[in-house]
Amino acid sequence: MATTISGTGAPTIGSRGLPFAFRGLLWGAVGFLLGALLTAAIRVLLGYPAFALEPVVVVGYVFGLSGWFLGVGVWETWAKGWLGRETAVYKPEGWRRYFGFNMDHKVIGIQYGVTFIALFLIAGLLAMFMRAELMETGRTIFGPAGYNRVMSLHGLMMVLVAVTAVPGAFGNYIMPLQLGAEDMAFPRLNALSYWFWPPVAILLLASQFVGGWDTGWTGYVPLAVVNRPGQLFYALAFITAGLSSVVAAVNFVTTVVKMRAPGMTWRRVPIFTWSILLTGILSLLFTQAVAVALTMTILDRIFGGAFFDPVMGGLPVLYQHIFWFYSHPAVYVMVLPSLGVLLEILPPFSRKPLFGYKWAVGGIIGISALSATVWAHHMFTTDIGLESKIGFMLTTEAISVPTGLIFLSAVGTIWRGRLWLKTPMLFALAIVFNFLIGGVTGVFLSDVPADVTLQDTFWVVAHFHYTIVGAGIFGLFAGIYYWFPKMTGRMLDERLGKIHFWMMFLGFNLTFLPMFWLGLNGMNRRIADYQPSLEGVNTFVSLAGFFLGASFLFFLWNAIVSWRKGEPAGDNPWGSRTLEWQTTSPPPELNFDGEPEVTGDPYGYGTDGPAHAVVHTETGGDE
Amino acid sequence: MTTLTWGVYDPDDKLSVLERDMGSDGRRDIVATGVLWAILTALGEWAVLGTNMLPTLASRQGEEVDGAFRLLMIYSVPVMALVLAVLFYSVARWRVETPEEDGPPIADHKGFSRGWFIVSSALALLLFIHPGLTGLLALAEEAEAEPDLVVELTAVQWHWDVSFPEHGVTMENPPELVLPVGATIRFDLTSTDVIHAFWVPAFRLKQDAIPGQTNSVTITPTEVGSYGEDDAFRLQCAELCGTGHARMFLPVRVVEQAEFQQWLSGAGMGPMEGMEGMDMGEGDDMGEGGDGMDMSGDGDGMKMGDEG
Repeated sequence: MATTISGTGAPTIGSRGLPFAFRGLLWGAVGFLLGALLTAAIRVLLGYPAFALEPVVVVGYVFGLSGWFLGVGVWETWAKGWLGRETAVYKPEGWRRYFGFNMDHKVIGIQYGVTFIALFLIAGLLAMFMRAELMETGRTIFGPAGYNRVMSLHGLMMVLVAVTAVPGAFGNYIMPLQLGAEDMAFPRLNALSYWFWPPVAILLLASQFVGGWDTGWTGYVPLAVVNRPGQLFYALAFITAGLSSVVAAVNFVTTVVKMRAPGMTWRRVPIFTWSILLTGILSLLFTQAVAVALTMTILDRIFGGAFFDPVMGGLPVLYQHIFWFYSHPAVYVMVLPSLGVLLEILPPFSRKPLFGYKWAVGGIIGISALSATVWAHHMFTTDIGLESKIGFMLTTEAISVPTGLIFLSAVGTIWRGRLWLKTPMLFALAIVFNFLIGGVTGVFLSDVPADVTLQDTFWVVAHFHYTIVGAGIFGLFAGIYYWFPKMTGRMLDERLGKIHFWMMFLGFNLTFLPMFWLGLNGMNRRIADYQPSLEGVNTFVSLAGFFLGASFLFFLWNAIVSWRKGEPAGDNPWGSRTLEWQTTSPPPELNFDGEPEVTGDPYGYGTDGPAHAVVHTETGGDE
Repeated sequence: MTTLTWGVYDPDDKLSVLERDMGSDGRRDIVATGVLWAILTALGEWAVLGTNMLPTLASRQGEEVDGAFRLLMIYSVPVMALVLAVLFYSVARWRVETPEEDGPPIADHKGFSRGWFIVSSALALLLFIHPGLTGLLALAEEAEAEPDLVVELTAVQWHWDVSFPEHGVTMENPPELVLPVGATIRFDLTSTDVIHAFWVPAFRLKQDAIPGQTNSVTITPTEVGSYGEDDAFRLQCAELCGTGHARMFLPVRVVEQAEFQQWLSGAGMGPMEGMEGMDMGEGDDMGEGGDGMDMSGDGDGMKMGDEG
């Protein structure tokens, strides 16, 4: 499949003129205007005033999104084929290749990586403003309305980053390489999944021009039905991001199932690829639920839907059930790929096989399966009945068992290893530390008697930052330090990397550890102001948070300088055995100079058994 | 950078080069890690048992919550200590500048892995049964208790309306909520607009106030106290409800029965300032008393810190 698209023959486009992304913006704007005019016309025909913001935006957006896709390159590379005309391949050289409908999984991986690092830094900056507001009691910089807006934007952006960054960057770039594949199963869908993201960014930006929204990332109704129009942009952005997830997930799952090189049996699939497979399955099965919940919210806002309006027989709590039916599996979408990165990094940097490979795979599958059954643990304080509480408490506490298997594999791998404490390894070890705290504090929240006081407090804020930042985002950076040499051909600077690591690790723990205490002592979450007795600890947390924020400046500097002038990496600087390291850095267009064949264990460190894989070159020799 | 080459661990030679240099066969490491685990556990339990991280407790139902919390802390310590002991010990013992050789190819250890799985499953089941299930059933039983007093709380963006239906007293946005110590109080919660939540940190229990339905939470205050002395005595909205969410709290004062009766009957109104006026409440279901009141405070008591 991949060869037909990236192979020769089809004409190439995009090497001259305006980059396609700009054409996409233009066509998108035209589409939006068409949709808006159509809405206005229909409204006039039905006897309503021509203009109403929310209906115009919804219909305009649907048309605008279509225009955007056609303009960014879908027209030439895909849609023309539907009309029986010849399609082309978007394949310019240099920087332009990142600004159009490029189907190379390596280009898409870098597009995702750079985009989501940028979103992460912006959302992190918002967190700095939040901590500035919380430095002292009373109004510090923007007061309650501004705080709620910034908090909500920070929350949604970070959720999108956490869901997408690792699978987007490394799932795309590394996973096909680990499989010995030439590309993803569906390169067009792969490109499509990325180009959903600029519209999401535009919606989030636009939402701030109509007052933003103030429901946090969860968008609970009825607040999300009665508040400002920014909420509509939130819903559209979230649905669009979800579409991207579904499209990407189809591709990930199909690729892992169908594109494995000869000899890549399920027992030889690298653990990171396992985590991406299960992440894909979760996204595929559950993302629709959040789109349903948000579509119902939109209908309630602009069509008098009354799904959630108790006066009309609707049920506010229904939203939470549908929302968490997706959003709890989603928190594992945020964490599983990073746990995959963790277990991928530990063997080469311990010079030992991955301990308990089968247990680790079982852990990933077990977490995924159970994650579908725990959603109402977010709702222990609503009106769910006693039997429901018992059931959801049981399934939630049961998740600690497969999660424990990840720890089993991690501690077993480092035990008696040769621990090579390069920056990727430091981040990996930090994940073990952070996720331990995140996991154990989650058990308190699964326990109903403890949860009734901890819920909706800073205990929860600390807990989910320990899991989603402490594992998820640390995993993103672990992956960057590990695979940057493969993706760019250059090493990141080790000294700057270590400065980044230690500042981030210390800053993170100093910021979030005291939040457990704050939660216990009466600081509820999502508040712009708090009781004076909590001021001292909050000031400390804010200062630690600024320190954490500053650590990323070292990363940014390191990444920019090293990408241009870093030490050349060679093919396999870490002496790793998995397939992505058995090719050049960066890999050639079709990934390998020959046909990879998998002949052994991906983590056979310390054995003189067969290599994980050999690449048969054209002359028939092994490389 | 040239590709590194790696020495291969020799399985016949039971010790790798590094381990021979260190004079260890791994058994000593297990003992040392075990000792470290024991030390970390002891330190952790000492810290957990010796410090009180929880705020003032002033309700009987909250004892169930605190008991569960403390027990979970006690359980957590050895679990965390085990992982940290292996982590710290391994990094201290086996860190290398540049690995000259691979480590021993230990791909699994049946006994250890199975043991880990069984113990972690048993622990999860234990936690589910106690404090989880036992605490949940105890709280459910408490919730069924016949109340001595019913308080209706209606959440409105962004304040609480309080009524004592048995006494025919209704207060709109009162400056404080006064409750009798020792009485079993059932709070009937609802909302007129968006979802809010009932949470008095000193009472521990939390329950959402959802428009279109009434949820109840039963609490028996066990200590007298007031917001003025301890901010755990406040009815804090704990579900994001819009702009005024952070400041949507109502000071709580738990007093002796007699003082409560006095306050309720209006005699205790004297010291309350900022009261706009008193009207007859609905009080339709009550014969006695009858002098219901409608109080509206200006919310002065609800400001936190200095607005500048």
